[in-house]
Amino acid sequence: MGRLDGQRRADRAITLMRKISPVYFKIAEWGLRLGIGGAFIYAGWLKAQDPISFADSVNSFAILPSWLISTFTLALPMFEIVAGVLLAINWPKRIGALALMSLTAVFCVALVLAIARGLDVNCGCFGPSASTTNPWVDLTRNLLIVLGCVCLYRSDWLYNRVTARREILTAA
Amino acid sequence: MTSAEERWHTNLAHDLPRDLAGVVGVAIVALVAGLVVNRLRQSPLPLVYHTPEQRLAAELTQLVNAPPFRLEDLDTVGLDEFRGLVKSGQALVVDARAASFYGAGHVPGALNLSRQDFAGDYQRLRPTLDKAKDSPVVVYCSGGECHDSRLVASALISLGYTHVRIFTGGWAAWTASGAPIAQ
Repeated sequence: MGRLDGQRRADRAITLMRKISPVYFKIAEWGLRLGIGGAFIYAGWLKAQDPISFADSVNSFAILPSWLISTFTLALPMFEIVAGVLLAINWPKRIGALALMSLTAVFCVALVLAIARGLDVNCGCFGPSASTTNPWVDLTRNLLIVLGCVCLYRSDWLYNRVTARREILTAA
Repeated sequence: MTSAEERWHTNLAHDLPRDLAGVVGVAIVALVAGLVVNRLRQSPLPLVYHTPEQRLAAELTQLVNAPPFRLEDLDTVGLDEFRGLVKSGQALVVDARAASFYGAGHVPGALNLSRQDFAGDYQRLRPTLDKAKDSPVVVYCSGGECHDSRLVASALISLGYTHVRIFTGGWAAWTASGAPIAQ
């Protein structure tokens, strides 16, 4: 009876695995990689066009000392562009995903601090804008980006687990 | 172990330190690239940051022999009064936004005296502005939490303009009311 129950569970698992085609997994990963990577390349390019306005946005968060603001302002757009390119071209995807995940997590912390302190901040995420942005909208967007980057960082591991499980169950 | 079993047993602890080192490498490359690109700009960003107030004060000092710049407590103008002033032409209307936003649309008859390029714009508009030193002047910017109108208005006061007020609703309130737009 025990062996029959185990066999039934294995059969159900194989049936389920066969329904989740690895092709759909890869398509979803492509879309996420190009979407997030492309968005950060665009955002970095916009910030690089007007560094003075971006420096003013960074200053509005009142976190960095003034002597560090310019250096941060000059390095961040390039970091976004380089990491976005690495992610978009999938070489190497994990470093690009981890870099953008870390960066966006730092943005989330900065936004939470700004909201908690009641500061009027402009994220400056997509360059200078005619009107200020809602920090809660920025925070929600950034949390979704962190989630996407986590999925991308672990996508190979997940893909390997799914395909390996299929093979192990099929070979059993 | 078979290939499938090897793939099943991959783990994070093996990859994470190497990936973190890669992220540090990206940060170093980005910093160097940012500094090089800044060096090649026509107007590089100074490595010591100055706030908008400090930059405007420095421009005023270069521009004219003005008294020290300070932020003023200014009278404000509501939307209805502002619309009346624009329609009657009884006040000089100043748009404190950057030239790109002014070009995309502005209050009819407004002059562009931007916070970002105050010195350049003031030099350009000086013949017109000098005639309005004792006339009512109303300054606006984007609206909401934008402070540029207050900065530009304070700068005009330090330059000797006597009747300067700000329209705090700004461009956002003007367009939301369906008022006419000039380009």
